[in-house]
Amino acid sequence: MSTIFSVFVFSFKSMFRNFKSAGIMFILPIVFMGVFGIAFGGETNSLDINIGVYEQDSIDGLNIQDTFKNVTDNSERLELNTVDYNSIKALEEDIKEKEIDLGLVISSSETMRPQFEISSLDSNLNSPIYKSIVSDIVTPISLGREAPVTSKTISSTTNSLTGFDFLAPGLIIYGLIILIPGVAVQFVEIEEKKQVLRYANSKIKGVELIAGSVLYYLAIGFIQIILLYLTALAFGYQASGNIFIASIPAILSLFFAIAVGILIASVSSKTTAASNVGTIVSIILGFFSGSFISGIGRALEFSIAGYQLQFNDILPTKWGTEAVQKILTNNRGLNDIQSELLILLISGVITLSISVFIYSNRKLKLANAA
Amino acid sequence: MHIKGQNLSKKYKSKKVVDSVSINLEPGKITAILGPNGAGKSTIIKMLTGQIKPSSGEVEIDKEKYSSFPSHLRSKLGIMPQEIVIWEDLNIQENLEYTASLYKIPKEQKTKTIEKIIKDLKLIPEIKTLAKNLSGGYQRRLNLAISIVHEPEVIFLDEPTPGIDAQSRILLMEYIEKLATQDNHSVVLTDHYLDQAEKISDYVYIIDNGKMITQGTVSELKSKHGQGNILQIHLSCNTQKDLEKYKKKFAKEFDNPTLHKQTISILVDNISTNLNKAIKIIESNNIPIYNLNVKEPTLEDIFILLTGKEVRE
Ligand SMILES: Nc1ncnc2c1ncn2[C@@H]1O[C@H](COP(=O)(O)OP(=O)(O)OP(=O)(O)O)[C@@H](O)[C@H]1O
Ligand SMILES: [Mg+2]
Repeated sequence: MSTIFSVFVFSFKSMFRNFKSAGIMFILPIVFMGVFGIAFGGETNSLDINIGVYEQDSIDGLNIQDTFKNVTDNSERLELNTVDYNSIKALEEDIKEKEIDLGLVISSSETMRPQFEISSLDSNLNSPIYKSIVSDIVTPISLGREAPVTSKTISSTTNSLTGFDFLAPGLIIYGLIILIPGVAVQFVEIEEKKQVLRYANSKIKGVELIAGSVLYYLAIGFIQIILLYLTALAFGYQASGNIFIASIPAILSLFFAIAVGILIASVSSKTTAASNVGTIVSIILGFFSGSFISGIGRALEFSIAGYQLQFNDILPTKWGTEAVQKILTNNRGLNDIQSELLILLISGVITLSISVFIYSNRKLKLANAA
Repeated sequence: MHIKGQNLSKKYKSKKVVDSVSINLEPGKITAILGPNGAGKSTIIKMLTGQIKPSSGEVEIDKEKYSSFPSHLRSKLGIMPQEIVIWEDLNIQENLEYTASLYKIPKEQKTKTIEKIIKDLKLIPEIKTLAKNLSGGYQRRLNLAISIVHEPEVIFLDEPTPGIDAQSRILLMEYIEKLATQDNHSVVLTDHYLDQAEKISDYVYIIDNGKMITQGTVSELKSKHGQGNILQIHLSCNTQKDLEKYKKKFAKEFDNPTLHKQTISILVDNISTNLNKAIKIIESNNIPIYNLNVKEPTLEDIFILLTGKEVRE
């Protein structure tokens, strides 16, 4: 245990003594947060969405037009206008003609719950954002959590939400994803600087060395989460949930990111290569996990055997983003992210075990120092 | 721990870089593996310590034979690599402490050993300097220091003193000697400065092109290959023609005089008669000299005698 702690302290000292280069991993996400905060938050950005509504089945006590009106009334920057339709055909026609931004078809499930189908034009770049906003409003209704809808319940959760409120959680996750190149470089250095000679000759075990470093990155990640959260608040993020609860899925996402970093190190022989590959991977991962574009996955839907899937469902960090969003933006509790936590835990443990195994067997070999 | 390498060979592709070399590391003794650059010294050390597997041959530890050094005994070895492998972002004190923690040394013993190493290697003046900012000499000292914090039984030093000032070199050499004599460690060192190593080595192996040319204690090697003394005549002329001309004058009276730069060297058995003979040649031929001396042959002189070339050309 004390050996693991020594590695942990060693990593911290090395970071502080290279703060000029290490600082970038703290500063970059903070800058992103600020830029996105200015671009998508604040007064200047009023989001106008025209929603076409077609009620296939009529549902008692549901007046979705009122719900949207309530949201609009209680929000300074979001305007949800509804237009009623008599047929799906007419609705789809108007989506194509760009008369409306989204179509919302309401039907009734066997249990008499409302079901919603949101449709949009795939060529509209804003579609994912629109969809995510509308789906955040209607999903709780379909789940029966907040139905029948009253103006009060809705207004308390969606009061004046901005685009930034949907992006901030993804940017917090990005602050963790961006640690990947650093992880990769640190682990390649062990070979490149022949430190493996010192480690392999001593009594430290491979898992102890890796555990100490992972622990360090978890600590760094936690600091990162808090810094980004505070930055987001400063730029107008209207978080209604608890940051410490939101840290749980975030930290679990970090396990996956660290595993990816170690995996990159296992196949790189030079730190420059590890750094480049790590940077590219972290940008791609951030992109598809919804760090820069909220609801990107909805633009990448496909269905298999009747299941509606999104390409990025395979990325644990996507679930991390969604879980953080649910907690922080939508003020839900741990109960509501159980499935996300399970996915994150399982995928984190599996990828980390695989990468530790590959790294120990490929890199932590004395022969690599010869 | 008594380590022996038997008929160790190492091939890279078809090139044999070490060819059937046997080495015996007597406990408590300083063993030197000497030879020019590229002779195969580091490769031999790496085979003896398990960093690389021999292509053929065996490593014997306390009479047990292994195809390569067993990893469970590795923490009994102290290996100072030819390259500097230190923790750049830690200062000297932290370097020692971190390395000690990797060896899981109990706290009290750790404090004691580290204090001793710091004192012996005179690291105090730079104790708080980050390793990456240390001068070359201090980096070498630290490279050695962290290789021995765990008080290994056998210490391997691959070229301990390249490119450092005389003062640091003497300090390191004295310290290495002390490790073996006072602390009863076995020390193995390599060097391509043969004369530097011969002063402190109990037993010497001389390697060239991956092959063992000779072995023995320094005095054994001298009596075997360099019986007698070397007479050196330093000429004060500098045209190649003159130098060759004067060398020929000596060649008439002596066996195999060698000319290197402006110095003619002659291996002689009896000093007084041969010195007289040489002075007569100088007088009768009016040879311009600026110095004349007699010295015991060094290992480098012996290397020249055995291979017909300089250690460093
Ligand atoms: N991994 C390798 N692949 C191919 N050739 C190698 C390898 N390692 C060493 N050699 C070759 O083996 C020979 C001996 O190398 P070695 O490093 O053992 O020499 P050395 O005696 O330690 O030299 P120096 O005094 O310069 O350190 C050299 O010709 C070198 O090019
Ligand atoms: Mg060498």
